[in-house]
Amino acid sequence: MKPVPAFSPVIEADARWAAAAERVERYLRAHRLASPGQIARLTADIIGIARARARADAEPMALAMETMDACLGAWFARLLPTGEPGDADLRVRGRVALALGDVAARWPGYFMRESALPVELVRVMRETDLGRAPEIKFSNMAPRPAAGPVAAGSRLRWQWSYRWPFLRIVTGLMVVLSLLGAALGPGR
Amino acid sequence: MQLLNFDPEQLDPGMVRKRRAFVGLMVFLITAPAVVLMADLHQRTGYDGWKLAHLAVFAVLFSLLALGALQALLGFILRRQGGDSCQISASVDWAGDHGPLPVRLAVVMPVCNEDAGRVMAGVRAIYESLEADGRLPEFDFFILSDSSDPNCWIAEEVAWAGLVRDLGAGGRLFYRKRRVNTNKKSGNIADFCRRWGSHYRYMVVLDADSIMTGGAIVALARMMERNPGVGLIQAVPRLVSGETVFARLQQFASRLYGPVFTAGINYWQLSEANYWGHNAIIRVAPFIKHCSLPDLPGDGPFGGRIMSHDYVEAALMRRAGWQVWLAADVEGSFEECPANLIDFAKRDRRWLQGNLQHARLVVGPGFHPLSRWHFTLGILSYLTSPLWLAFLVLSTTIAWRFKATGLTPLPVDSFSDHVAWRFGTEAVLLLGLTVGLLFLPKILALLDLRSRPAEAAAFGGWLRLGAGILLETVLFTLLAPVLMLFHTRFIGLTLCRQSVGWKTQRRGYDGGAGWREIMGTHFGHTVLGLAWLALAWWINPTLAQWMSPILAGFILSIPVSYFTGGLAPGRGLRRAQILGTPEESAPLPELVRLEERMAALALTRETGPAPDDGLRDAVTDPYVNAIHVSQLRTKDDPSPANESRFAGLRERLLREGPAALTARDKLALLLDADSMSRLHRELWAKPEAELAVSWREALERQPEPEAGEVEFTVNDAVLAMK
Repeated sequence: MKPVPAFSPVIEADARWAAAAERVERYLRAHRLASPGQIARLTADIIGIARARARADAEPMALAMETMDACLGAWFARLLPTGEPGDADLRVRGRVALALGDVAARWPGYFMRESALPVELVRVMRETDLGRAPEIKFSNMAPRPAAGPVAAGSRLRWQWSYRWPFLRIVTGLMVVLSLLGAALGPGR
Repeated sequence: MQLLNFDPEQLDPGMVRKRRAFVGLMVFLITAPAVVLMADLHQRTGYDGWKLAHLAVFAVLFSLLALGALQALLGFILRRQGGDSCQISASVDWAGDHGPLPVRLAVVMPVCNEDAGRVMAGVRAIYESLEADGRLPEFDFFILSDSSDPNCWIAEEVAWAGLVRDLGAGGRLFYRKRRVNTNKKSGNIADFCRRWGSHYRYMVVLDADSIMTGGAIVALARMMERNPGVGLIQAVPRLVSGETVFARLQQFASRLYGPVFTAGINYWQLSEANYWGHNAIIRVAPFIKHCSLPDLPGDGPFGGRIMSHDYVEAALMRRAGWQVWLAADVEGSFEECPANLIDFAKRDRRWLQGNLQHARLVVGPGFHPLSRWHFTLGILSYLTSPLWLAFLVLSTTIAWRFKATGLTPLPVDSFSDHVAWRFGTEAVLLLGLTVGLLFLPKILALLDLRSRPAEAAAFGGWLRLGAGILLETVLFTLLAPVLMLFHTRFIGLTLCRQSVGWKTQRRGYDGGAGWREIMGTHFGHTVLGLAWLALAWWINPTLAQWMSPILAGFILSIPVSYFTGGLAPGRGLRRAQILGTPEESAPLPELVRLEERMAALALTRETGPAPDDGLRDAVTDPYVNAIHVSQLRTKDDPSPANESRFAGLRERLLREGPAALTARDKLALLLDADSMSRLHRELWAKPEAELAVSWREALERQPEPEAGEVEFTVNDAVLAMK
């Protein structure tokens, strides 16, 4: 077992690479990796690879995360039964398998490791998924009439009354006034 | 459930007619004397139009009261006799039928912006119950989401994935989110039927708050298997998990009085029962063929989309010749209820409009007469409120008009020479009859319980049971008039095509509504009660006394609503075992597990999600993002215009933050698999200076490493890349 390096000269190189390294660390933590030592080592490795690929026009942070993505993709391609390293779907499936298998918590030391992986880890990564719904077999579900002729007639009445909001208000007022008149009118 | 060898196919139509005629005749025989008494009372003081209207409204209200009491009486008698010989559960040989079900079943749970934690806790309880019974291989589970709130949607996905992981349910427990929520819940179920319905002979439909034991589900499936002419069986859900006084009142009353009522309902409904929308098993093929809901002609409030789908689906199923049964005696079916009066009223607002819409279906072509009667009863269940209010207004008006004459009451003799009763005697008799019908179901339920001492003990014993009934009677007496006002207002607003505006949104204050919302909602009720009391007192103090129970409901609506909606008094009553139920004192394992999970969830929740938390998690968190993207359909050939639009939205989202986008745009991004994958990558790859503050904060909120070091292993995957 190698000792965890106290600091990485690669990460110290300049501020942009330092920011890139910090981002990679965060991304690893977002995968629920808990060991600071392991995170630091993985970060150093990824930044190292990214720096080796550095181009003048490339932003270190973008390059670092691109490398991170590529490393994860390569790892998933080895573990999962199908998919190419550059395949976006593979990375999605891989992350789903990591989440469902709780890999970061159960096998933290083997995260992104390629060889000598526990058999159970490999099985979990290969077999764990959210499952596919049964094959879609479309059925025709067509509605049939439910309202009768009286209902159709009432539709006309409703539409008519809505077209005449003024008439509606006047009718309502007349009903209320009639009731009041009947209640308060003389001879009662 | 008993072994009675009942065959629904051989149901004697003559016997069915006799039962229904008997119920109708009995309702008439109970109602007629009361109406005659009321008519005689009016006759003694002189008739006019007001009194005729008063009498007509009284007749309708009293007949419904009589029907309710009669159902309880019939149910009580049937239960005393060991159960109805005509009930669907009696068609199965329970002693000999234990083999695996020969078909696959789907358990479907439509959800829409619900608490994802509660939804998944319910699904888990049902799943584990079936697993414990060894029935899991026969079932698939579908969570059918119509959630439009991104927070709810993402929370559902994450909770579902967690459940699949915990239960090892990959390939058995599915989640589907519809892109367009056509026709809401009924459309959601129809969408399932269209896509996957042909894989299953039966589907068990649940609500987001439903719980069913494996035993109950299998029992329903066996009844269906035994009876190929049955299209739908509705189980009776018992109310559980109530914490507030209001919820506990409902679950206590439904648990205590429910059994006699449901037994009575089955007596006359038989193979033309109803569907309540959940906790039911449905034969999928006829449902697909006959139960697609048509739009009603015209537009609202009575036209357009059918809002209350369950009654209509049962009627359509029956119209096609399939029987619909109520399984009144199936144990292990539960649901939850609104926690407070205001939420209860909000729910009723939706149901009310749906039920009123059924007025157009009462005369629909081909429906069974009993289906028409179900529609009518559904309408009347809400129409009774304005009728009751009209009855009270008419009573006050009649008293007022009498006062205006300035005469001394000198009632004349009865219109019948054979009735020697005095005016006061008739009035008291009428009151006694009304109160008797109101309290008869309670007395019958208690008598029914006498034959089951263990169950009485599970209610907390006779003393606590008595205290519960007393409290329930007092509180429902105060709550009922307020509900009457709510319903009357809702009907008025529905007819005027107005939506109901609530003063504030509920914020989950202590399980109930906050003071401000309560005050805003009930202020009008209180003022009306005070004004009415003053008027009644001015007319005649005796009138005020007679009306005092109803007016007290109006006047005390604010404190009663607050008290009944509070968690603290509800929990206090629970500790004292008042308003307790057998499901609370001796809960089934499914309910125990549900309660434990909900308690654990409550501990982990500090506050509710902030706006855009769902979107933020789906973009930021590698696992949430992957789960979300894995559920989206990838477009094979997206149009350049769409690509350009999404690129712009993504850029703006990252640069300006979620608040800069409209809800529609955010939903569009969440629905686009490519955008969500790109957003995840772009967010993590962009320097902080190019990200909105909210994204920078989200990145900083990533999980902190826990204490403890793990064995370090050289990362040869990375080294290999070097």
